This record gives sequence, C-alpha cells and structure tokens, in this order.
Amino acid sequence: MGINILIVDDSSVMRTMILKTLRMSGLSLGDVYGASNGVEGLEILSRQWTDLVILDINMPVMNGEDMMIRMKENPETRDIPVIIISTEGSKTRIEGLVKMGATFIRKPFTPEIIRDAINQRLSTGDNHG
Amino acid sequence: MGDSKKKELRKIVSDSMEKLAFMFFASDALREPVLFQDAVTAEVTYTGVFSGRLALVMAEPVLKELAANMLGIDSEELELNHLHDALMETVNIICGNWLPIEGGDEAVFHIGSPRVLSPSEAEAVLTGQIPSILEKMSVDEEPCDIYFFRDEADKLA
Repeated sequence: MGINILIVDDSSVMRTMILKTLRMSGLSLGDVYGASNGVEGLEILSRQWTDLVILDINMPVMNGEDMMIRMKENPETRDIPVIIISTEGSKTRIEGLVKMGATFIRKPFTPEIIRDAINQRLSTGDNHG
Repeated sequence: MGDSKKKELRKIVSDSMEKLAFMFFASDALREPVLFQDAVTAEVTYTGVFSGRLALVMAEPVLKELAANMLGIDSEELELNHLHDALMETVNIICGNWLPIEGGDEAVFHIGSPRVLSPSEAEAVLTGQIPSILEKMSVDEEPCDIYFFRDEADKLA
C-alpha cells in the first residue's frame, strides 16, 4: 500500500512542485491530497486516512503553526508526522515547530531533501499507522 | 549597501533558481535595468525589525522557462496564471531566504502575500525611491532584476 500524503500550501505552484517532487522521489505513493490553508487541511484529515502531512507556515485563514497545534490536540491526528516546508527564516519560530515534532525544510528544496525527510519520518515509526 | 550584501543576495537568487527550476543565473551588472513594460514584475512587502519590499522584474522568456520547469509542464501549455504564480512564489522564496541574512536569524518578519504589478505600478513603486540593492542578473542573455528596499526610517532606528 502506498503512502497517503496531505500537502497544505496556499500556493498552487508549490503544491504542484511538491507533488512533482514526490512522483520523482521513487516513494510508493497512495493518495495525495491538497489543501490551501489549515482549515481545509484539518477538514481533509477528519475524513481521509493520512500517513504524512507536508505543511507550509504562512497561509491565509489558518496558518501552519495553528493547524499543527490543532492536530496535536486531537488524538486522531496528533501522531501524524509533519514536514514543514516554508520560507520561514526566524530561528525562534522554526525551533518552536521542531519542538512540536515537525521536521523543517526551507524552500527552495531539492527532490533528494524531500525524499530523505519523508523516508526518515516514516522509518522512525512515529507515524500513526 | 555594500558589495558583500549584493553578492549574498545574488547567491540566494542563483541558488533559488537552480533548485526551483534548474536555471543558472549570473550577474549582469553592466547593462541598464529592464524596462518594466518589457517584463513581468512581482513583489512582496515585509514588516518586522525593519520593513520594506523585494521585487523581481523578469523578461517573459525567462519567466516562461521558470514556470515550465517549476511546474513540470511544456511551455506551450502555460497560461498567464501559471506565469504569475511562479513569479510570485519565487519572489516569496527569495525574500524569505534573504531577510535572515539582512536582519539576522533571530529576527522575526512577516512577509505579505506576493502580488504581480502592472508595468505602470511597477514603475511608480520601484522608481519612487532608491533601492537598497538593485541586482541585475541574466540567464541565456535574458534579464532579471532584483530590487530590495529597506525603509530609510528603519535603517536610522
């Protein structure tokens, strides 16, 4: 069975780029869902089994930080691994997200960086599968 | 703004373009700035320990290659929104990587939503004050200019 992934980013170009990268990565993909903000992302998580969330930080409606806090509050979603892919440059803000359990990748990224981060997160057994 | 800062900005642009689209930008300092009517312009504004804006002014052939490579589609399939979205994402990424160098990695900035400017708006916004950095680059002889503004009041604070 492939990995079900949710991509949450307000940029349709970035969602497409991440999907292209996932397809190039050699990972066994299942369903890949897209959302343009945290509210949409949580809504998808409530009805679709998801193995991993790839999350932007700065988004309208609900940002990635708030979405991750909401995920951690919910027993159904708190153990889903999160990879943050963002332009965020503040060390303090990045450290806060990493403390919550996220892996941080700065944009722009290479396919290798994404593939390695996903493999690392899914092999450490901290997913909810 | 010193040459070392220009060099650092140039490196961020080069690295970003290479990772985003496998394109290799080089300095093209001796030419005149690109005319706004001959290019597409996108900008982001930012606030934080200081505020200002960063803009990319890119010739359309470069932008088409950038968007096609970013999206993994043929350039003939590109629509105008693809070009605009690719340029806006690129300016956002460059600004996000540049501000920690300009302000230090402890500094917190809020980067606004990127937007595309019409040629007349670009002219008004980008020539109304002297940029802190104007970096002229090119790829395959097609130009791309980067304007970085850091508000004067903030610099004096």
